[in-house]
Amino acid sequence: MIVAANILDKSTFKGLFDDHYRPLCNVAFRISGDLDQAEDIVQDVFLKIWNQQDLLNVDQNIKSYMYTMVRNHALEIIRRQQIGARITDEILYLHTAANSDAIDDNEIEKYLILDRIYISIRQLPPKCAQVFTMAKVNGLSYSQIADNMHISVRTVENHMGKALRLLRAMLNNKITLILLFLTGLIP
Amino acid sequence: MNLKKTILQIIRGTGAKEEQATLNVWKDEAEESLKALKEMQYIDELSPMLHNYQDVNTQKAWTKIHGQEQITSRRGNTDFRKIAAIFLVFIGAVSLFYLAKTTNSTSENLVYDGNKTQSVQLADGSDITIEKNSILTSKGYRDVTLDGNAYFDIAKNPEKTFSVTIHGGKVIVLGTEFRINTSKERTSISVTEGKVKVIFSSKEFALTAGQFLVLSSNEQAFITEHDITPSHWKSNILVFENKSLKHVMENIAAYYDYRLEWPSTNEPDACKINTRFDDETLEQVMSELEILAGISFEISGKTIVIKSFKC
Repeated sequence: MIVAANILDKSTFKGLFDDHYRPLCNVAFRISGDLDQAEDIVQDVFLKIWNQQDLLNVDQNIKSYMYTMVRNHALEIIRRQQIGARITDEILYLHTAANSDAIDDNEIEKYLILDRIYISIRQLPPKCAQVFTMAKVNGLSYSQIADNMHISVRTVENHMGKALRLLRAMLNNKITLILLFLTGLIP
Repeated sequence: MNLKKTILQIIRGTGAKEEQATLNVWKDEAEESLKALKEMQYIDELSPMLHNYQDVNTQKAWTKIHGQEQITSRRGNTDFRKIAAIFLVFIGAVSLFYLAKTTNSTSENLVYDGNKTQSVQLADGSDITIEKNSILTSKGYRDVTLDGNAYFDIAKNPEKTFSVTIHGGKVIVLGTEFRINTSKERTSISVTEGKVKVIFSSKEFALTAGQFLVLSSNEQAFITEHDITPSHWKSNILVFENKSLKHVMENIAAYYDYRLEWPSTNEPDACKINTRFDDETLEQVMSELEILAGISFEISGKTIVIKSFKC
């Protein structure tokens, strides 16, 4: 019996899981709209990575592999639901192999920053967090928020400014790096 | 400074040296603000993607996948291990049952220690939560010795005090809730309910609910107020609403079991802190307060030294 060399040690694997579990669940959730199913998909992918390390090779970008697998899995599941059970497992396997149009590092970095913003919003002062969530996440206008919270539009603006400043400080140099890669995205 | 004039002078090469320096500073600052602005814009543009963002329990998922991954990777000898494990658990349960039975009658020289947090219920109805790597020895009825960290919820008994022997002293109570963390170098006691009497190197301290005491052989005893309750330690969540920075720091110090040194200047503490810490390390908490209240601090050993703050 040939023993495959372990590419991942336990702590690296745990690190990957801790950093990427929630972002990955959200990638799957955005496609399938079912959180339980999304979690199952992500857990399957992690188990697959751990148990089939002999299928990975050293040069492979494991993160890109994870994200692409999760996305393709989720896509395949909804496709299968739409068509019915017509597709055989064999075709499913072909489609879920993570090779075509892989998710690259820049996109992964974006998912990670998004996750950091999500965590950091909770750390904002309560009013600040409320205003920011209403404006950005729920898409309310400043005057709607002002009405809602019985404060002036000016105060809403102040809260937004403060929220952005604090979020930037909390994310410290994470964004600086990605902006270097993404020059051109922002004028 | 007349900016337009200065810029023109520099373009023509006629600007004075110091004016040029001023302009360079201004240019650097502008670049820094532009960078900040771009970063904030990026957050602003990305955030709408948080619409319908889902929170998941990463820890729970890890436990689940962890179990499966061990079973699948060691399929060959799982059955043996499983049987052995069940057998061991069975033996453990039987011996625990036996121990518990004998405890009720004699309750002598029982020792609890181990590699994980455990809860122990004593015959008198008291609950003790013993943290990882701590040792609790029961010497008799309502008489224990502690080495390490434990949380006590002691049942009232006006007839018989409950005493905990610690390094260099003793803690005596009738019925109350408190936490002790004791080692050769240092002992801290935090009271959440009732009254506690502490005897330490021939000194006596009377503590009431909300007080936190730090003792060590080479430093002055240190007492501070806090409103940390058992639920904080259980949930790992600290919430502050409109509290002064000093209040926040006193609670954080008590929660993480540190001594707090507040700046000796009489600067009024005008900060109003609104925040929430969810299962965070002291380092994370302090770096957030650095942002919120502009504190500068130092952590040396088990002491947090606040040097200054601005709000």
